[in-house]
Amino acid sequence: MDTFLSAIALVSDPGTLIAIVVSCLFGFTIGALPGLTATMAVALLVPITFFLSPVAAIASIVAAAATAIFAGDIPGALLRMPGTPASAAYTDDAYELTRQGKAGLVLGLNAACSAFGGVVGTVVLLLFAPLLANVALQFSTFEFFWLACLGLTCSVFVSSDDPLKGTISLLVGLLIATVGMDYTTGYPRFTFENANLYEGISFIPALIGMFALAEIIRTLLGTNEGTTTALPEQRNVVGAVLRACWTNWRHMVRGSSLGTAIGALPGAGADIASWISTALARRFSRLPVSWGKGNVEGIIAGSSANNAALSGAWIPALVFAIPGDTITAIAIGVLYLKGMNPGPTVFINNADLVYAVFICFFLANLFLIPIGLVAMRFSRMVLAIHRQYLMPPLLVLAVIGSFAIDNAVFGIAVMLVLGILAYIMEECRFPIAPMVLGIVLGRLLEQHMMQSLISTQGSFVGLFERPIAGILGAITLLVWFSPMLRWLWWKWRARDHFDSQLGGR
Amino acid sequence: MRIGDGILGLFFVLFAAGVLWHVRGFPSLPGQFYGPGFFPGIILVCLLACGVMLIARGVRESSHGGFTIIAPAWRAAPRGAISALFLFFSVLAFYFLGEDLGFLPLMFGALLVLYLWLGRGLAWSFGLAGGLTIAIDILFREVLRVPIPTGIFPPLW
Repeated sequence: MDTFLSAIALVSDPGTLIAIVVSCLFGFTIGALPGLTATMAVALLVPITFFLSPVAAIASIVAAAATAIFAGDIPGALLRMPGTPASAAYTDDAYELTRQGKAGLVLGLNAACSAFGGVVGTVVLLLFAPLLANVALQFSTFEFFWLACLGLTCSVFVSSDDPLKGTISLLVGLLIATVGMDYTTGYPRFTFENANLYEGISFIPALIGMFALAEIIRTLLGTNEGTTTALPEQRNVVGAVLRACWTNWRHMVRGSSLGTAIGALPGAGADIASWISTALARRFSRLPVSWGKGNVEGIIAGSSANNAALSGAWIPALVFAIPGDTITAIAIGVLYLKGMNPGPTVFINNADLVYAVFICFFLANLFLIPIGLVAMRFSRMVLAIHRQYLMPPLLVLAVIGSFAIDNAVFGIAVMLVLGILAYIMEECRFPIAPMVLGIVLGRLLEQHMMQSLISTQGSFVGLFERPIAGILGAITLLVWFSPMLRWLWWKWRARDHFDSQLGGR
Repeated sequence: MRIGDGILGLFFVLFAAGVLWHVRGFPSLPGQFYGPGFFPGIILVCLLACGVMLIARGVRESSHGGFTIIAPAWRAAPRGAISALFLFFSVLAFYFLGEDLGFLPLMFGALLVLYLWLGRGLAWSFGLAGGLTIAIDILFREVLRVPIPTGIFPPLW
């Protein structure tokens, strides 16, 4: 109880509350601009978090991400241009409702369901993260090695419909993470006698480059035109929203639970949660013919899922130091910088800070409702800004942010190189999420692997000897070889079928 | 832009093989089971295998552009490409000249040039570039205490 009270004291600090409000506004602005993602909002916020207290820093990330995901629904509903990929799943129905003069209902549903999903995800985080942490305390380098492998593998299979390109993206990320002095011998690898590279690639400039710079390049090269759409008036919006939520409570609950579960999978984020949840809502829809013509079920399920996934992603991030999505990948970096080393011990060493983070989750998600109501009135103003005109200041922010992490211009070079690399890879249809997770987790993976191999005297079989490690290792190998096993199964079935046909003649 | 999987696979095979060659030169230390090249070696072997699979896919899809390169869409709109070049040189200017000249003039210059190029008027671009430069400088130097290089220009505050 003392821990909880001290957590409340930490959150009620005026600095933290101001950070939450300002971050909400920032997240709203970025999220409401078509194409700019919640991850980009968080990446741009990182340099500012260096100068905040640990709780305010994490609170600002949580608040910006939650608001950006909600705000992404606004241009989707008004312009049929989803602000974030997470909103894309139900944009068609939202836009159809807007055309029917129900924009108020759509935006109200987005705000209410986002808040509900976020709160459900937070409750699950609050209840299960400490329990999981108790189990995780039994983990050694062996288990963490397999868990990191499993997380990285999941990111490949979940973040893209092309596992081969996802794997290549992951391997490129892991290779980037090997730059710098070797963990066991101190030998400088791929440093080309550049002292700036001895400590490895600083991943904050890398993330800013891969998300912010790549997006700026894409916008400057593209031909997106900013337009405005009038927000139609609708009376008694709140009543209509509450009625729709009441009628479709199953979709809200299912979307929130599914979003939390998917969010907790490393590599799967709000985007995937939203798409799967919307697909499931369609599968169980009471009005399947109205889909694409203004059905609220998909909007409710998708909006609930994407904000729930944001909270769910923090479960592996806090308990195992494995990012659930790209936002938590960045947040883990901030946690390390703030001395809150994520992992099971964070619940012992920094219990008050962890509970403060949980309270911030509640606050940020509850703020969505008033912010949503205000946002509905001001959304036209934000959408009226031509996206291209926002790019120059975003570029300057990205440059200074990359400089600020180490106060060295080398960070700017890292941002530029990795920004261009990310742009080219995305143009060639390579998903970026596995590469990001590879950069963030690469060093950790290598450290756990080398520590485990040293303790097993170099034996790979030893990696399976501990019970939990053995189970995790078996699951990982099963996931790795499942495509091959599936192929062999189909071949066997086809041959069996062919033989039975021959036998029948 | 679309690059066929076959070409991408070929690139990754050559890249992985080249870096593997480099990794072979990493020393193996006495008393160590695995040297500094062990982990990157595993990654590169996997990358090489993935490259071969991409080539195989390219061969399978050779009639559907497995080995072709389609020019990027922005080639039809060179204005966008020039904007991206401005961006590239702006970032390079921060990297090479940032510490000598200072970030302040570079910020102002980058914002001014980009706004002018994006089609805003001279007065509008000057005003916005100046205002944003001052706002960003106050935010980072004064509020957040980032030691932004001042270069030859004295700090404004």
